[in-house]
Amino acid sequence: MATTRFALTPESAHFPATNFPALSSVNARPVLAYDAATQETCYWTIVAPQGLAGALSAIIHVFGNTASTNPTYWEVAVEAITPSDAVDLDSATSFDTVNAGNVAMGATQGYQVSLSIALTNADSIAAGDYVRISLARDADNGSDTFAADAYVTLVEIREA
Amino acid sequence: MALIEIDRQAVRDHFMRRFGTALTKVILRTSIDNVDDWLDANLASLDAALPVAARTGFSLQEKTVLLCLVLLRRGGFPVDRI
Repeated sequence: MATTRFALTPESAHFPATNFPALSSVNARPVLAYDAATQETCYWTIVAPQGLAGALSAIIHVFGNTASTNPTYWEVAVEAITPSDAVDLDSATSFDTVNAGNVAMGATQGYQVSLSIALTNADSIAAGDYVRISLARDADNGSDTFAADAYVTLVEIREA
Repeated sequence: MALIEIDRQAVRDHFMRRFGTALTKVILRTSIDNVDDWLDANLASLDAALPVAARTGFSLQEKTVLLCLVLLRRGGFPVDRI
């Protein structure tokens, strides 16, 4: 049975210095507004829960700022650091290869869709690890033809 | 004079941010190229539509601003955006 491990909200995200989605609200719902022209990224920090054993997926909940079924293209990456790992947190990151997928947006503006991306590349995550999850909209990707902002409302990390 | 690549891209990016469209990014960008090219091809026609005094008295920039202001109002936007 699948288990929800984390619900990553817009307000718990943190951001790089440049090219990040705006933390905004639509109809009083907090959203991360991802641009259609620039690749933008944000992060969440979590601790890998005890008992974690199965494969993980990221389920992205998103709706668009226009009515169109053209797809958006998303990339999720995982950085899992075990105590004593040789990663210099002062100056380095160690994200695993991105996991990617695209989703057709809602034919009606405001209708939410969801995309499940299997986290095949999960940086050998293990219980107790200090973990960052990154989410980027690869706006320059040829599979991202949706010509408007995409509003992410929530990301669920699910264990199979 | 036609827009350079970076300016056409800026028009596309702003359009997507401000309005969005159900069409694809590629079709939007092609449309911008076509409008820009059409303006180049029809500048003489626009010029001919002006009174002689304006045709010879306005600079190219003034003619461009004039066109922009008329188009802004046609689109329902306030003219003080320029």
